[in-house]
Amino acid sequence: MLTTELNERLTQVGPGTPMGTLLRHYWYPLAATSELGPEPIQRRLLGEDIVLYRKGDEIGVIEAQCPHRRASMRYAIVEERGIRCGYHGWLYGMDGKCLEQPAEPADSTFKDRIQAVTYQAQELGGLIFVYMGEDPAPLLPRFDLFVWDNCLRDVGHALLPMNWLQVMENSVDPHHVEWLHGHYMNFVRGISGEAQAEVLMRKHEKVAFDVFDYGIIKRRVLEGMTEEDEDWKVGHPLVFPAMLRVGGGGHYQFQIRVPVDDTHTSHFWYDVYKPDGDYTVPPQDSIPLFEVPIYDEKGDFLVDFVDGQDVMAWASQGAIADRSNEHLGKSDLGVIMLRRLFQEQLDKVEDGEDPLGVVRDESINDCITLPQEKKKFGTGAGFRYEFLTMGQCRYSPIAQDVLRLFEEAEKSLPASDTEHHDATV
Amino acid sequence: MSFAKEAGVSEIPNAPLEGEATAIDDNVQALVQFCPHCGAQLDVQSFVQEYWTADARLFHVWCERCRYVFDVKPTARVTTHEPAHE
Repeated sequence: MLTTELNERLTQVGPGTPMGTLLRHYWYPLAATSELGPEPIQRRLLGEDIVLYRKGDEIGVIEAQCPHRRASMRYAIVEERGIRCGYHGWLYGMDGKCLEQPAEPADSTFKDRIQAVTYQAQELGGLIFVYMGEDPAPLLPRFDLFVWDNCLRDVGHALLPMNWLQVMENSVDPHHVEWLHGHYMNFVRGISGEAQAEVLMRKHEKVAFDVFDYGIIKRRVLEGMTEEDEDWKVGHPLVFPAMLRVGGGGHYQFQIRVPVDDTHTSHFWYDVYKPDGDYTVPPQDSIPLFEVPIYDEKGDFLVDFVDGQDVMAWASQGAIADRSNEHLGKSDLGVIMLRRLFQEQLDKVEDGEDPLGVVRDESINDCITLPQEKKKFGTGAGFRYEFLTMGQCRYSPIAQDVLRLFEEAEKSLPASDTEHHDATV
Repeated sequence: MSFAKEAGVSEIPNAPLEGEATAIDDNVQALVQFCPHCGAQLDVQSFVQEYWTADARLFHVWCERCRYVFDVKPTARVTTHEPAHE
């Protein structure tokens, strides 16, 4: 258990809160590039409503309510000099300075005293990232999955009804995989006669967590495996503060948990399909974005696939999990470690230091390579097969293209390098 | 708190008993109030997290002042092995 006071300190993300201040040291994706056309779009990040608009090659971010009469800038006009409120025509430059107030007297200097709140935005890997912290902004980290070429990508998305921290805690809780995505998956699928998971229900013998430059590396030894296997020697990271890197067998994924406010999380599944082998993938015109459904027609959680099961577990803990009423055991030490890490980073920020994983060195930011096992769960292809067919990827509009890519890549490999999944699915 | 009773640890000092109205938060803070390394008070800027290993109740602690990390294990009985006799 935690004290209620500490639980609030770790979960409140709004302006002026300790965690909100820590989280404002990082960039967050708010939309796919394909979502932002000629009209502005509105989003909420860290408890603040903002509007994004595209002006030529630049992306502007402005507070959602016009400083004049508080009408929504979502319904504004994008112009050469900035964005003009649709209600009375007040015009704001990309820096938030008010440039015109058409209904005021021609010689009025009133506009010189009006400043809208604005933030910075950048595009990378088909996503639009926003930074809401103090200047100077750190670099937008160019993690490998965002910058690789010769691969396919898609982006799944869902707006989730819970605090972002309980989503992140799941990423340092390896034991849940064999139960939630193994035994529970098969219970649910058994009722409807669907294919059963095999790889995902392998028993955990040992888990470990190491803090590194960008977060926490998670390692596991499954029954029948040893510390010589990639699941232990390489592992995969929780990228502090709001991402998980996961995948296997040529499928790579970031799960990005954007803190919308105290009780909502915008969840992106950023998939990259890059098998070993000799093949050429033309650049995609745009990276497809698709919604991942989380409820069935009765309003219950969809629990017959991996990510739906995760969402059920996160959401059913409550909008903000009551950690003063929990009972943690030794298998929860990863969760405890993450909470302690957040508390340590809160302390660093209060001392005026950058927290873990903030990137300011251009020389390392061409491509930041993160560790991730390929032969995951001892069988990369088997894991990939279950992850693709029993995960959110099943909703991807390019799911068939992805399967064809893996078939093509496999043909180019010598037979000795080809790993066939043996899961009965 | 049936959890503690079921775990057979009700004899541990300050452990909540079934039906006891003591606030959980007060109980956590009552057990680990000060850093055993530097003596600082462990307030909300430090980290005190209860967890269990079998029947042992432990507190994982990080002190905000000295940044020391440690586990506290309240102990009701100290046991050891009996040396072999000649």
